[in-house]
Amino acid sequence: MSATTAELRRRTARWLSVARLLRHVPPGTLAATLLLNVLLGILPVGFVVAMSVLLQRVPAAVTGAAPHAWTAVLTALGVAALALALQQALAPFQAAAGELVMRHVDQRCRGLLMHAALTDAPAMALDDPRLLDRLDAARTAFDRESASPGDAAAGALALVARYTQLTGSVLLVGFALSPAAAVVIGLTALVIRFGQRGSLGAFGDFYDGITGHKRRVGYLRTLASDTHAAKEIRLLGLIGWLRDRYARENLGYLTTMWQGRRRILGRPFVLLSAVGVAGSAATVAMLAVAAVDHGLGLLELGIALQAVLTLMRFGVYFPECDVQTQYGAIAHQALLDFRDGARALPALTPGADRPAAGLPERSIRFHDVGFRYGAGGRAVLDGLDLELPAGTSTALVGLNGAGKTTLVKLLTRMYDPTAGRITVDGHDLTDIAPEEWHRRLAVIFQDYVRYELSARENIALGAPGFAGDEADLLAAARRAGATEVLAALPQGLDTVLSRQYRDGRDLSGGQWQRIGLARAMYAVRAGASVMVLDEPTAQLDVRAEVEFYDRFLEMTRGLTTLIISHRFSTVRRADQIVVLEHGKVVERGSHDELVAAGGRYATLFRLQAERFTDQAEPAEPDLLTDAAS
Amino acid sequence: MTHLARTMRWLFGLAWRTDRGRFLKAATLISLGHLAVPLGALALRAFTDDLLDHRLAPALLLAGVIAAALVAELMMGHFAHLHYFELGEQAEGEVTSELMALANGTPGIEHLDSSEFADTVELVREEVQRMRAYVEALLQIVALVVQLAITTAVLGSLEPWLLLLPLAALPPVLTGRSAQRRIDRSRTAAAEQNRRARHLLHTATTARSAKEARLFGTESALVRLHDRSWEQATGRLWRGQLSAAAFRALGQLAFAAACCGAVYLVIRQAVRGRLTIGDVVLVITLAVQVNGQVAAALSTLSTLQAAGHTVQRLLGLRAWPARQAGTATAGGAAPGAGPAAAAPAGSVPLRLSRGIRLEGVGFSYPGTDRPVLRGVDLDLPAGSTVALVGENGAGKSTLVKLLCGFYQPTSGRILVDGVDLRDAPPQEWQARVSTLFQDFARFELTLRENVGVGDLARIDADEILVAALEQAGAGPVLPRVPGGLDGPLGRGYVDGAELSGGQWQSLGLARSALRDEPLLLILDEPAAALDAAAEHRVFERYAGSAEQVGRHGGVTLFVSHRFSTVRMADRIVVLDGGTVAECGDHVELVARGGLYADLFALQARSYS
Repeated sequence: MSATTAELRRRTARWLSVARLLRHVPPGTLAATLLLNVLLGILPVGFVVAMSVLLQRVPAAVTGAAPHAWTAVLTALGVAALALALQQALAPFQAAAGELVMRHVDQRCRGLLMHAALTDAPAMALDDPRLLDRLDAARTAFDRESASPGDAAAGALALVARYTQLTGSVLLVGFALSPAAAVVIGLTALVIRFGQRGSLGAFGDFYDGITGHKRRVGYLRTLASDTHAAKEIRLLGLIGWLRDRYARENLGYLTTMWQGRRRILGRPFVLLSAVGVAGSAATVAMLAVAAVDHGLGLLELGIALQAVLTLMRFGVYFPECDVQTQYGAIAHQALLDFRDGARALPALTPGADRPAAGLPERSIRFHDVGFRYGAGGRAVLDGLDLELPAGTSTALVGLNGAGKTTLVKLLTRMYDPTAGRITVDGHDLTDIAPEEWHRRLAVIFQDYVRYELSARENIALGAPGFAGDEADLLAAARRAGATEVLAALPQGLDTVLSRQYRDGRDLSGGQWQRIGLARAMYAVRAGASVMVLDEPTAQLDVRAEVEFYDRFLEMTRGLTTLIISHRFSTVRRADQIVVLEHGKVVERGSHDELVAAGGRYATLFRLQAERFTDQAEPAEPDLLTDAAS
Repeated sequence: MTHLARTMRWLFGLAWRTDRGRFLKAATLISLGHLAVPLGALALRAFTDDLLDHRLAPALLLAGVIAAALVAELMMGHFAHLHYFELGEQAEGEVTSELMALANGTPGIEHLDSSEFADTVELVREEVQRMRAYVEALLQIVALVVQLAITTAVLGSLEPWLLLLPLAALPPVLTGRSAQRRIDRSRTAAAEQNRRARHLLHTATTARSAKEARLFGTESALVRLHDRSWEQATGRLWRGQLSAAAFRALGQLAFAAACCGAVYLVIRQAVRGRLTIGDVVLVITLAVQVNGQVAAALSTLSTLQAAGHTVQRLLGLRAWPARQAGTATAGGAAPGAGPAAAAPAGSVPLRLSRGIRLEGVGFSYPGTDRPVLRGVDLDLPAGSTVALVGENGAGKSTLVKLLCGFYQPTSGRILVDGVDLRDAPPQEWQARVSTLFQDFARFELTLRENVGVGDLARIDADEILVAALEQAGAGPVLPRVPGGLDGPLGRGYVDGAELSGGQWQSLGLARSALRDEPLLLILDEPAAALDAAAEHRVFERYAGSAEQVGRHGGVTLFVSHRFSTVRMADRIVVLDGGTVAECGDHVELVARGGLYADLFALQARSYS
């Protein structure tokens, strides 16, 4: 019993949350859509009544006894025609109104999701696989791959038409035949409808449960029939093996699915059919008895017969509502789960609201900083001491997993340290509001964003709050070396940087990189003075990489710069080089000092250098083995 | 119409071959469901007339018939789908498997370079997943036509004019099509804004880009840009929907008028005493349904039309090799791709004694006039290691494709110990080539399969696989994969172990090492994302593999993008503009002061 109650509560909650979505629809649109759907429910009922009145009037016209009988028949036909015409004319607008409702609701929900990802959630929410999964479920719906919350809202409104018609028809049977008959046929309709709906829902759940298997089959299908592995398939002679593998995997998947489908959609429907036959036969029989034994009139007979037909056709799948409400509500729930789950994560350490303007004048310092992801996690940073003197550049070197990325996350205040502290000119970083601090930063990641927007917007998004003019944009572009890139664009700054848009242009990796840099330089123009470059050249070819480093000094002049790179060509131009290992600083100094010191930096440098210089000696093997562990 | 007949015949053949039992069951059930509609209406007429004549017993019997017909109309399609879905799903698997053979069952890859072929394969792969709908359409079209014919005949028997009623269902269909075009147009007009809104939503909610958006404080700007695009799109879509709905309404009105006309004709006959009240009831219940029947038949026809396109595409893919052979005068036809390819006369040597030789090799991709390689003369002596360098577009990857036998040279020839590759069976040569490309395939399957595909005969030999892993420096990967050799890898499709780029790389090397004594080993320099130590380990393994291969006289070819591997080679080949610009060892080439010296200096500058 409690399971049923819980299920009922769950369903009610789901419908309430769908109903609440309707607040995003402008009142006029909402009222019009509701009215439309009520009319679409009532008009068929009106048609049934008018046609029955017509039937009732026919015998009088046959005998010719009443002078106006034929006119009366035609009047009834006219009313029926009007009802049918209105119904037929209005029906197409249901889809149009639904689309509008969907667009309004989705617009707000998408905004909600963006806000949740960028503001509600601490940055760590996007590192949490559980929350990412929810986020992904919500976003997939917005990509129209499954029903969205907006579809659910539109589907719920369309249900109004169906249930209005159901109610009207049940009332008609009750009036024309008997309340008992109304109850029987009404219940029959509802049992079939909910039996069917429930089975389809259950099959949906079952199907969702085997999507993993389906995905694997899909992977093999794509792997063996597209071009990505074409070379290996040929050289290794894999096609026969892959086809067998696919056939086996597919058969396993189908066997599971067929069993589930027959179980969920087979026998229960036999039962529903039996209920349907029994219920409708009973009602029609009651009608026969009432007509023969109790002299039921032609009007009542016509109404009852047609209403029974209408009600029996209620027990179907509603294409305009069912999938939309079910999956749309799930997508909406995913959105809420993400938002609430993200809000529940520990927030950044609150502190005094110190203004950040002008910082840093002296330096940024890491004092004995430690960090671990999650309470029991491995210490990614451990007792890290580091000073970034203002106005100079520091390069961060280390093997993958040494903690470089985490250090950037702390410096940019995506996370706070779990031990120690970071200070800016002596002020604790937690005493500066994150948004304030972010305005001090100009960051370019390895995978900087390539906005499918104009070049102007691509650059200006480095400092959206900055009311810069075109001169500022061009100055930022110049400092980033992007002037030529802009000059080559057909509409200059207003060219959309993607060929998928009208008059848009695609850029090469090197060209994009300069636009990304211009974005960071625009942030500098807007007042940022701390520059973070995370593997900025990983995607460039040899020549573009060399050009980038030739501009390095010009770009970082006067800024407090932190650069992370595997390429020593970059690193050596920094004022200070810091080697990170196992979450600690193990070496620090200029390139020449570190090479002379013959430590870890010197080893790693020589590893790359020995391929290009004749002087370099081979690396000491023991140091390498250690580094590899 | 002939297209339609051909499509239906093809679908029927496929369905019949795949599973005739399921096909017959589904056909029976669907027919019952469709016939129930006119049958139910006829029962309703008899029922009404019985009641008006006060005959209870037959009326009660008819009540049962009516109820059964109503439920049959409601449910038979559902029961049928249980059968034809299973049939369609089997057929889908068959066709997909054939598609795999068409795409990747040939030694050559020429057809894959044709975007038309690739697009067609992708389309068919997607469309074949609608096989269930195609089988459904085949079954339904027959049932619908019969149903419509009976319905029309029944109506016509009352009043001949009603034979025309199906025609009245055409205006809604026509306006419906025009309405759909309006909607499609509005979708096209709104596509750009929708795409941008989608892009911005993804940017704001994908971990990688969201971190940048967050740091630059772009939320409100992104939401504003998003809303602007979204609202513009909504405006266009709404206008499209409105005009489409108005169009549809017109068509529906025409049918409604025809329906009411039909009722008018029938009651006029009834009033004259020629038809009964039961006849009027019959017309009222049946006439309205004609619209739905015609619409269903036409939409089924359009599904069949889509099926026809799929069939055409599939037949086109089957005929592709023949078509290529006919037009392959410009580009070299892939060996064995066409039936016209001559039977190979030579045989690939077991072991290289002299080496691989390219003589005047030139190549243009099929359908283009631009030569990618011109007059390439090259010696790859047995047992040597050779580095292939050159800037992007110099022809490195094309040369590799020729050496792998994916293409044949447009001019000149490739000799393996004197045997022209054209004269050797392509599979035999490919079985002796081992590779690790920069974009090597990362199979999201088990660890065993990732390595074992290197030599399928030994995929179950655990010790050999483990030895190959060790040799390739992938030993540490094994304990990290839950489930060991049989544990799945990758997170895209299964909940498998996540590997770093370097670890995947080592698996790729283990795969290529599984092949015994290859005649040619091709190793691509790894991508730049590896750190210095990981990169160094890769090179050490490369050197090890090269040495092993060289011991049996095999040739190792390093494809060098960043010059990191050139020092390991006995000889360096510099490609420029599709020809061999320079060739020699490092010292010679630096001394020459040409392109090699230039590019090398560019790199070395950072380390001096």
